[in-house]
Amino acid sequence: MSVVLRRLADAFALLGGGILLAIVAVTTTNAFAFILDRIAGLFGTDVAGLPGYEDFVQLAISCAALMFFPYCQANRGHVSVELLTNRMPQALQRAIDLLWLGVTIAVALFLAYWMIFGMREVRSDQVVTSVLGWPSWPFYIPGLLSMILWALIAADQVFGDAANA
Amino acid sequence: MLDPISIGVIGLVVLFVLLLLRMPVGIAMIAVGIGGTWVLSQSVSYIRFVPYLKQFKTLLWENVANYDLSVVPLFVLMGYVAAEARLSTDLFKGLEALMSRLRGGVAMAAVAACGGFGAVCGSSLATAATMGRVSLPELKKLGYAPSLASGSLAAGGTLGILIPPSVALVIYAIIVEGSILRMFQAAIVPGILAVFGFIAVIAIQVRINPSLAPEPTQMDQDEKRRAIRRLWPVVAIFGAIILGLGFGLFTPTPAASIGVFTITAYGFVLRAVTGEGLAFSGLLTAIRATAITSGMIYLILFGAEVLKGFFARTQLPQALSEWAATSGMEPMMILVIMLCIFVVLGCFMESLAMILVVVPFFWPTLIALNGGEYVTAETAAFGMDPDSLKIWFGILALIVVELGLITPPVGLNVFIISSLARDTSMGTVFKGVVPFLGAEVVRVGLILLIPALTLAVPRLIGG
Amino acid sequence: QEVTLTMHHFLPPVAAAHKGMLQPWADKVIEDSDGRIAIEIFPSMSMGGKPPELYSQVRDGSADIVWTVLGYTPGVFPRSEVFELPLVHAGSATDTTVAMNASMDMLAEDFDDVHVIFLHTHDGNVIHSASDPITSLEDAKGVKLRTPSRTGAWIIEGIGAEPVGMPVPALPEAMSKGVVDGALIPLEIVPPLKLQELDKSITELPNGDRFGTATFMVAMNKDAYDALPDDLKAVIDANSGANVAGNVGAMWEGFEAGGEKALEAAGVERIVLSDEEAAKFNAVSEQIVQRWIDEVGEKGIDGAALVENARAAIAAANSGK
Ligand code: NA
Ligand code: NA
Repeated sequence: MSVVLRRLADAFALLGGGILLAIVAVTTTNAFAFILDRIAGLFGTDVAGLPGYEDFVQLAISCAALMFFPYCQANRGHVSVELLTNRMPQALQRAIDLLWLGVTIAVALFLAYWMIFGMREVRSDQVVTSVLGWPSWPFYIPGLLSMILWALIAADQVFGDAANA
Repeated sequence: MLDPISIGVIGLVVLFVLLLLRMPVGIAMIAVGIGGTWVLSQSVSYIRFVPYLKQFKTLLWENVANYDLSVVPLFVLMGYVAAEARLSTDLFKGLEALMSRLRGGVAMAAVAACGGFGAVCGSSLATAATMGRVSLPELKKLGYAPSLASGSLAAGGTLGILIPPSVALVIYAIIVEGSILRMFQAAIVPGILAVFGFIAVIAIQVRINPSLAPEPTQMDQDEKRRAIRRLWPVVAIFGAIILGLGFGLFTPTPAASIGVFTITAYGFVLRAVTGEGLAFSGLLTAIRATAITSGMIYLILFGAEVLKGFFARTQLPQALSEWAATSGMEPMMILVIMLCIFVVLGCFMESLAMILVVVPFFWPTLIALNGGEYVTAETAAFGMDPDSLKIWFGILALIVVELGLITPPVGLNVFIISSLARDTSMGTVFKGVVPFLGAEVVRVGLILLIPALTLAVPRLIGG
Repeated sequence: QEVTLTMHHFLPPVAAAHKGMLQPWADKVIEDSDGRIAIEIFPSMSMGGKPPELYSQVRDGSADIVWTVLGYTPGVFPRSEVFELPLVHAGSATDTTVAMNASMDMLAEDFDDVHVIFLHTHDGNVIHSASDPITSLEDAKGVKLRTPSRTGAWIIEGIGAEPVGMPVPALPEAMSKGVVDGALIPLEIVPPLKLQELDKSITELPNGDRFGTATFMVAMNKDAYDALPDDLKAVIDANSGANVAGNVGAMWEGFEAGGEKALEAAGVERIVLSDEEAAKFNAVSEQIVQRWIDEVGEKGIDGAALVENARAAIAAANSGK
């Protein structure tokens, strides 16, 4: 189970990274079009950029950002303050850790729960982006799955952090 | 029944207690935000809890679906790709070749390389980790004292946060609704000051105690030439990113994208030509590291949004700024107190989290102290208009926040360096950092007394 | 007081809409209720969320009252969109605001889930240009303009320019960097964005006509409204819809003055298109109106009737002045 979950979190992170690279590709293309347009402007012509690319970045980044959460949890990357607890007895440290894992699971499930309603609402309201006119609701799905996976990873950590898969 | 402001104060205290008990920062912010609003809903009739919860249908998604924030993971990725492509090594080796003839020169090269790497990396921790990995073994081999070597790297790492691009500056700019570009421009002079300050600290230390650094040795000529040859492309790429951003050829997201694209392409080409450079597996490693750092940042950002909703409902920020504006205290005094609070909090808190928790309280207060949103420079308490105040305070806050990375008991940069240099104790690193802290205090003083150090560049470029 | 209502919106307290419209409206309601209603205003999205979420916040009741732009949630208010179209909205915030509030029957299905206090528009979009002046349809070719809304993007495409989407606060920087050449936005936004320092010229149609507008609403949560005793409902009603529309529209026309003054002081050229060129732009706008009719037709809405009724209502508002 642990191994499967970790692989899944890794896949989500890499997919999120792929989306980031897609943003890089689209944005770079657009920026070069902008430079060409400046040059073409000297000769009285225009080079078009990719219309609505800001819409695309906005939708894409919403997926990538949330897809990073489970991998971050799997690697204990969500920062915390190390000050008092280091000097506490080992058992107490472990108890506190379990408590916070419990809260993390609750938060992740809470967010997933509400996101389901959010997605349904955005879908029934037929919300679209302003330039591309793409519907927003499908872009809730990666985030929703990420929240569930995040909760599962944290739940798995309750039984001890797995060795790197 | 408690009044809303008291509930806000209690919420703030509870938040710090939870943080001290090592609750993950983002989770603590969310928990206090939701829990606090529940408490508030019990004593304030017009705050209703169930409708409030329904905000969470869209709150998370809308928070991350943000074009401006997309620069954050892109800058993070740029730094990791540059490290994986070994540009950090090329940078350090090249600078070493140029500076190795000075006593302490290799440590100076390491600090300068930290500054240079800061130009592609948005975070202090990543800068400390990357440059530490590259230069600590070299410094050890040459016989540098562990305290000087590790102190230089821990302090040098803080340059990552201030030299643009900087994730912390992006987030500060978004909180205060300022221009990301102008913040970057303003950071240039203070960043350069820091590089020179740190180099001066090394020079003075080895002058006083020559045993800290070995006799300078002559590098092998071939090796030297090769190192310098490899330095130029790195300087060109990093320089182009800084200048492109600084002079506003591009807005931040395109600049970050072009940076990632250029560095990746250069790394792949270098690999094809020399066998070094960026491998596909290196790209995957960079992406995984980006996922961890960005995931952390996005969670804290969302936590800050939840916390903001709670504190706004308690009216605590307004009460604080009204109190400050009518307290009769010298505005400059209040500013210094704020900076001191940053330093103290920085002793145990992560810098981004600190900016997100504290700036929303301090900023409205400063604006009120200065004389409101529409005050002119002539009549303002700080002698500058709100836009300039925004920039100046942001740079000051960032510098003192970064001080927290190298002050005991919790200095994240110090932790990283001592974990890289396994035979150097944390105490030794902290001891090595002390002289650099001295340079930082001088720098904060200069920037506080001469606002032009921060404001001149954005004014020159931005008009 | 008996009832405290929360009001949430997206602009800072120094904005004209806050100081000139929302705060006075709240003060009036408080006064009319003899202090039995209190209103806590939360500006700058301080209760949390992004501006597009204001609508669901008032629908769910996490805020009792919100002021929001209908275009922030494109697709949610398909009928009301008719009033932002060019050649429907002419150039008077008063006329269109009065017409909108008089047409509530026609728009009712857009607002099933909230209690509308009033709807309004701003005075209308003009073309702001930070590069070459736009004196003809030919000049607009390839110019990059920040779009104010979905239909605004259609207009920009229609005149051969390129629409770019971005939040309003990002506009000055984008204009100074040449990321966009200008924007399609009203005049009242000029002073807060300091556009007078960036604009070289603005272009509008003859007779003060504009290139469409944006639609806004002040709306209240249904349950919160229903829970009010009848005499307090009456206070809200007295400050709603047709009772305030003329005033609100006039306010928005008044907000323009600040922008006009700033542009004039900065020496920004104010271009009014010739009748001949205006006809070319209007031909494009006519196509936009048709495109809109076709599109809402796919949702089963009779767009042609909406356009006709909206024009009639605006004409009636104009002649009723
Ligand atoms: Na940096
Ligand atoms: Na510290």
